[in-house]
Amino acid sequence: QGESPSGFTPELRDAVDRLISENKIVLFMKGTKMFPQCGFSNTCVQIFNQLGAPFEDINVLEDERIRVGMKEYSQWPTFPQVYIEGEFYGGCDILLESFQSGELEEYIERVLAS
Amino acid sequence: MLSSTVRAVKTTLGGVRGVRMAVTVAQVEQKLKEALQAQEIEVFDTSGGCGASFEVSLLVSEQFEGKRALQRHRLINGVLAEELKEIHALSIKKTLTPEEFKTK
Repeated sequence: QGESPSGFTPELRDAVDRLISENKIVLFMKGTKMFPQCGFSNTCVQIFNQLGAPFEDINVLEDERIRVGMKEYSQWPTFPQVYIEGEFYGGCDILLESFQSGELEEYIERVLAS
Repeated sequence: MLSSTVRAVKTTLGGVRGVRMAVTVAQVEQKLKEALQAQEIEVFDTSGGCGASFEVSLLVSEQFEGKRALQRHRLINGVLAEELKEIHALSIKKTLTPEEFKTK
């Protein structure tokens, strides 16, 4: 929205398509799962760890094209961004809310079993 | 209401410390209130003064009817699209319909 996806080429878009379809859970975050560099990203990492859910982490601080491009790709203005089963699930607040209600655990159990 | 007192203090602190207050609580509240005809709204500046981090603690709007959390948050993000170019972090806590607000 407004911001041009500087360098978010069709190739990069394809790579993201593939990444989120080949991994059940993908977290686009600031920092890495070993070293989160933002409290919101850290919260998501902790939630997945607590659920024992394996996930792929992408550090958006490492690549400006990803950082800018993913905002447009997801139609979501901030990070972290969570993808489950190839679909955008939400940001930190949505993940936390569904974790606290128990909904997330149920959903992820189903996803990991499939 | 306690929250408005807290908000007043936070706004004052922001005014003292903030050098470039790009986006303000009042601005965020005003926009959301108008666009979503919010019946209840609580917004906090969580940046400690730089105006780049906000929390929408509560927003009650009829427009959330029939929408799940993701769609409700998208609606809010859409209204604040301009501000979000400046804001680094926007935390959205409670999004309720008037009906849900009554029972919660």
